[in-house]
Amino acid sequence: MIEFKNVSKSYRKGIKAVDDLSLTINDGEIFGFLGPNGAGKSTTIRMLTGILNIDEGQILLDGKDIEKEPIEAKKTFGYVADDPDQFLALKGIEYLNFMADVYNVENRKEKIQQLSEKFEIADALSSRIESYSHGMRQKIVICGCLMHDPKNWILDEPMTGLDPRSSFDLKEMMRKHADEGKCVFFSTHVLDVAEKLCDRVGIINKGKLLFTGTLQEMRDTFEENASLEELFLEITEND
Amino acid sequence: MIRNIINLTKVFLISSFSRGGNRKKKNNIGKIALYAVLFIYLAGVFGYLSYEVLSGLIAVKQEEAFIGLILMAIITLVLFTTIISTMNVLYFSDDNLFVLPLPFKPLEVLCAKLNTLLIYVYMEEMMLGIAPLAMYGWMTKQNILYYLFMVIVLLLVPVVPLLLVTMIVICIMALTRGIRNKSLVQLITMSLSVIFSLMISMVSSSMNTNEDVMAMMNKAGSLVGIYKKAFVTMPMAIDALTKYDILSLILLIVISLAAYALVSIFAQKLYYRGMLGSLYSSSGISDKKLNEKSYQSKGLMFSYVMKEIRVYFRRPTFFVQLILPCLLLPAFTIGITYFSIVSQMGEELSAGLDFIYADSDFSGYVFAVLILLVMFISMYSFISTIAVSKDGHDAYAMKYLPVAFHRQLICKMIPDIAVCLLSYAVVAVMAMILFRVPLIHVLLSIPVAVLYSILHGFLILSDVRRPKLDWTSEIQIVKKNMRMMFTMAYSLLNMGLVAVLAFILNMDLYVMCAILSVLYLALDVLLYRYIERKDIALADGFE
Repeated sequence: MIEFKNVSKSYRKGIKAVDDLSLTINDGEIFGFLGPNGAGKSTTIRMLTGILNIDEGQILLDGKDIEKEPIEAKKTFGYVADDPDQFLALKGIEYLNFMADVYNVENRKEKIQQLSEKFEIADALSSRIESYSHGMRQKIVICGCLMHDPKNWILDEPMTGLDPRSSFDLKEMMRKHADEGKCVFFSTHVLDVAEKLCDRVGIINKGKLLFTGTLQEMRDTFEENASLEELFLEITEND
Repeated sequence: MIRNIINLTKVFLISSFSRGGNRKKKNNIGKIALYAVLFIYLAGVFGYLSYEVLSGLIAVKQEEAFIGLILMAIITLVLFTTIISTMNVLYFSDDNLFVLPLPFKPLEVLCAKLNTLLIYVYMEEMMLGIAPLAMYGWMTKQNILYYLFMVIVLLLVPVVPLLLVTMIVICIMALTRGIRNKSLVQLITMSLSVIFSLMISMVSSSMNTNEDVMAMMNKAGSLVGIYKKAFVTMPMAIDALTKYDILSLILLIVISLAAYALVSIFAQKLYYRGMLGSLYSSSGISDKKLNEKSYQSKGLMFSYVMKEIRVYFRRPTFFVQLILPCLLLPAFTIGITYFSIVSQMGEELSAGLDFIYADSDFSGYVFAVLILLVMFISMYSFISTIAVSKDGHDAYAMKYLPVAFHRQLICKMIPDIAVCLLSYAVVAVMAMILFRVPLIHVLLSIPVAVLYSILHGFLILSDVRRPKLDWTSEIQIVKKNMRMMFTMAYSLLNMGLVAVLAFILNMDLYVMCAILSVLYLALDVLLYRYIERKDIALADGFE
């Protein structure tokens, strides 16, 4: 479970990148975090993962405060950043072993083989990540994130660069993860994916959370039987 | 076509000098000032050296030989630097991927690349060529025509050597369909340049007397003859400068331009053949099969340290700029010092050393020299000062991985500590072999060296507060990091302390060892406690 309690963050005086955000993502659901460019999505995710300090409020992951119990809180999630160009000097297998050591993964061989075969990068593991294509880099980062089987998945634009097969596999894994009573929090610009996959969505714009709920609740609120894309545009344009 | 070539040349130059990042006007003015100071300094050094050499040559009425020597030096510099820069500019530049889809002819792209190489050469030539030739003009009382000819010669002399090297590289790349391992090529070329620089230092430091200089000049004189035969434009350049021979100057201009035109026209297809073959680097591609060992756990700390070491060794810029100098410097420093002393003292060195080691009053001095060497070498280790910055955006992983921040900092310090200690080990062994330093001095220096190296590792604190994570080229981090000044200042401070203890307070080696060990141990413990207590708060500087 992920909880945001009155979270705010400012980069400059008077301008809040995230303004009094309160939100709970329950176990067993896939939560889509949507918003236009510069809305505050990445800032929110960075605060959630401990990259950014919180100015006001509190963020809890499975009851652990990200600022007061950082190590314990960080063990509860796996994070895929929006930039897959990470650890380029390492070989794929070295990166996965490193992540396995960080998270103290047991059965690492089985986990690595299972994930790398699932995402079809098993043959590339002995090569350096810098030689991978964009999509392969995204896949190796996803493998590294999921290896320790974290309860909370935090994914920032995870489908970018993935081929259709891998994108389908990831969506299936996300669904299965949530169905097992765990939590998936992900941001995306692809509203079709969010519409089909998410149990609930949150729409943020200019630092403020404009809507939280299911797609049906959104339709009921705006009294329109429109697609998520149309409702999203209406919500963010009217703000 | 000419306009396209000029525009492309501008783009290649701008992109190679700016390499991303925000360029603030303030920084540019600072950089220009810094380069101006550097140019003046180097011009002064070369000018002074030229004055010394010319004074000797004028005395024996051989001053015209100086022109040949300078032009030979310029051509040698052009040959060497062109070998290094041709691969990067022609084949491994990121510009190639952007230029290829655009409607430029191969001839235009090749000419723009050649112009870029020429401009790099001119920038280096400015430091090496202008001051000596200007000094010649002043000391031999030349008129304004000499200086005009000088400018034209400096513009044209590099052309033929540069084209020669470029043509050879283009042919090799075309025949082999390109070399794909960019990292390996960069590693070899950069390592060669570091070794070459150290060898130049070694040669120049062996010239202690005027007799040494004149002996070197005589050897160089015979080389000038070889260069004149190899490079047809060199005799013309010499005649233009020494005899105001207009015909030679015209021939120099015509031959240089004709060579440029011929190489561009004939090499354009070969260039593209090689360029397309090397577009996608094969650096890092391996088809090795994984085995049981590939999945073994080696513990978190070991794994983290290995991750760091792999980055230093697999990134040619980091390896050549950070690791290689520290490993080579001790050997070169001790070697140069030894041969320099032996050349002056000869057999008296051995007797002198026996006297020093036998007298207990000198024990502190010998010990101090060993420790000063540790500190001198560590002055050139900048690993800790860029340990966080070198990760670029990967550094954010330090904040979301469930590993205590202070432990991650320790892992990042270890490569610096290891390099310092390894360098010192080389120093100690060479000191024992070449200078027969007694074992007791070496043994007592070890704890001080270890504790000082650990303290040196804590220079990471200068980086972690405000790391520079937005870079697109590793050279931005290595060369433009002002924190290197901290490293030098810090080392000099400690060297001053040791000098005071040994040469002013005249402490013996046991007392010095005890004082320095206790001091550095206390500092190490204090700093460790500090980073342990502060932990993640130290990362507030990068968000």
